[in-house]
Amino acid sequence: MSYFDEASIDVMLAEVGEPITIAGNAGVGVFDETDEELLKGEMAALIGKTVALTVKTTAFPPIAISSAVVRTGPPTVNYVIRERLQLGDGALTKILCALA
Amino acid sequence: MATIRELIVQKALERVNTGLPGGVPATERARTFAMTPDQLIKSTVYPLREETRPRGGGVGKDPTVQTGLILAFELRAKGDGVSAPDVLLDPTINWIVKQLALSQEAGLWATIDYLDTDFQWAQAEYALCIATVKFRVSSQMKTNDPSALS
Repeated sequence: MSYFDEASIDVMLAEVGEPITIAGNAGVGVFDETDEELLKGEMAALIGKTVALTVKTTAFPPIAISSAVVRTGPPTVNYVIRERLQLGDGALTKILCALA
Repeated sequence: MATIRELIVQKALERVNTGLPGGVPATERARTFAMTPDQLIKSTVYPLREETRPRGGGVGKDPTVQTGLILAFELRAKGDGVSAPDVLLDPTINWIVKQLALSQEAGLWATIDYLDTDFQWAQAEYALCIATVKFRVSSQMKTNDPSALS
């Protein structure tokens, strides 16, 4: 399956992406880390970091929840996929990661 | 001079922080600043609500009112990849309930009832959980003086 303007995605990932593996398959992706107020107690909020990884969908075999993601680094960071969402026409997939 | 309510919170805090078993964090007075996963496990306590009920004779007829202080312990944990965060909070919940439920404190409270525990969850980089453990502390105060029992 091919998507509109895939070549632009390749250019973008080559510029800003970093080496990763998903379930042992090597490729590139773009990490985005955002601090968010995740839980609100009666008194103090609990802040956590949301780690999102964007990849070209066709660059990897079907991505399964609970698969391992390795951020090659340095430093190397091991994650587990907790959610995956296809963006727009599906050319890009956003993966939400938890620390392994 | 502190109110009976404040003295109850202080004494409850003292009770749960005395003889802490391993793995159970000391409880602190609640704070309103945000917390981050690197600060967990954390246990805080605060007064949620104080109810009063007039004794026989109606409002203003008796020098004392019965009070019920809802005391909340807010416990926070992050999962560690092996254990879910509620599992990591379990020993602390167990400890706090054992220290307070059905206890008596002469001059401060008649009894403490364990009401309930609410759990909230979130998942980001870590699995996070807040457990709120609530008690009702039965006491009394002088009708026109919250710092006096009678």
